[in-house]
Amino acid sequence: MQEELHTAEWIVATVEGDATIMALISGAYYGLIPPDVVLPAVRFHVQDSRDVRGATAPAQRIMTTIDWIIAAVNEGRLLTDLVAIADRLDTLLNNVNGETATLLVLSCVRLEPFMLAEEEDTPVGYRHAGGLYRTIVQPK
Amino acid sequence: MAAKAGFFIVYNHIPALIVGVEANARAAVKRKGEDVLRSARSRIHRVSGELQDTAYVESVSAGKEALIVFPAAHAAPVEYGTYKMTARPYLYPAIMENQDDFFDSIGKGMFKGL
Repeated sequence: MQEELHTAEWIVATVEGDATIMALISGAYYGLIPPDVVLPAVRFHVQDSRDVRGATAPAQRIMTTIDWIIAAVNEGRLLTDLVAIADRLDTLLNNVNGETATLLVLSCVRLEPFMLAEEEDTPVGYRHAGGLYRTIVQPK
Repeated sequence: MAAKAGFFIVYNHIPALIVGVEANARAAVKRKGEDVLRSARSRIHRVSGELQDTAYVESVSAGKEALIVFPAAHAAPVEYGTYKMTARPYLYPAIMENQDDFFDSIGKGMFKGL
């Protein structure tokens, strides 16, 4: 099983299934926000992942630890609009568990907050706010 | 009743362990800093080479900490991605790869001869 993609499905379902955050963003996107999407939106990607194997039977894959950057992105240099989105993201994704049809999300916790100020040569800048989240997942 | 007097001789290996752990920690920080840098460099998709070639490790706090520095302007955008570019993490995975071994090496050899 490709746990990253299955966990990405869970992240999208968790974020886009919440009416409060969906009133503030266009959607949640894995990797790259499509250029035709109106900001603010949530982007997320894998920062690192590792399989956890049995000590006595290393061939046995028990679960997978995946670390994600999950952040709201907005155009411009103001952080104001991102505060409520980042707070809601944290409510939805910190200290929770869940499942999809194919995967158990044993835990999802935030390891640290994340912010990025993206400046460009043009007058348009982008701001990112969210967190580094760790999911521990297991195929069903 | 006569008062009793006496004393205890306290002897343990804690001071020696403290000195040993401190020495190990300094050596481990330096060595692991270089390991992380090497691993991070190997994960970078080389384009101009600036991101890899300008990176270095700097010892601070009398060797108790190491800074792994990527001074190129595009270091953070490559690691974390941008609105228009997907992330290609190189530093965080390198740290994760080395962290268990780092903690193991701090206690290495400490219990010999105790």
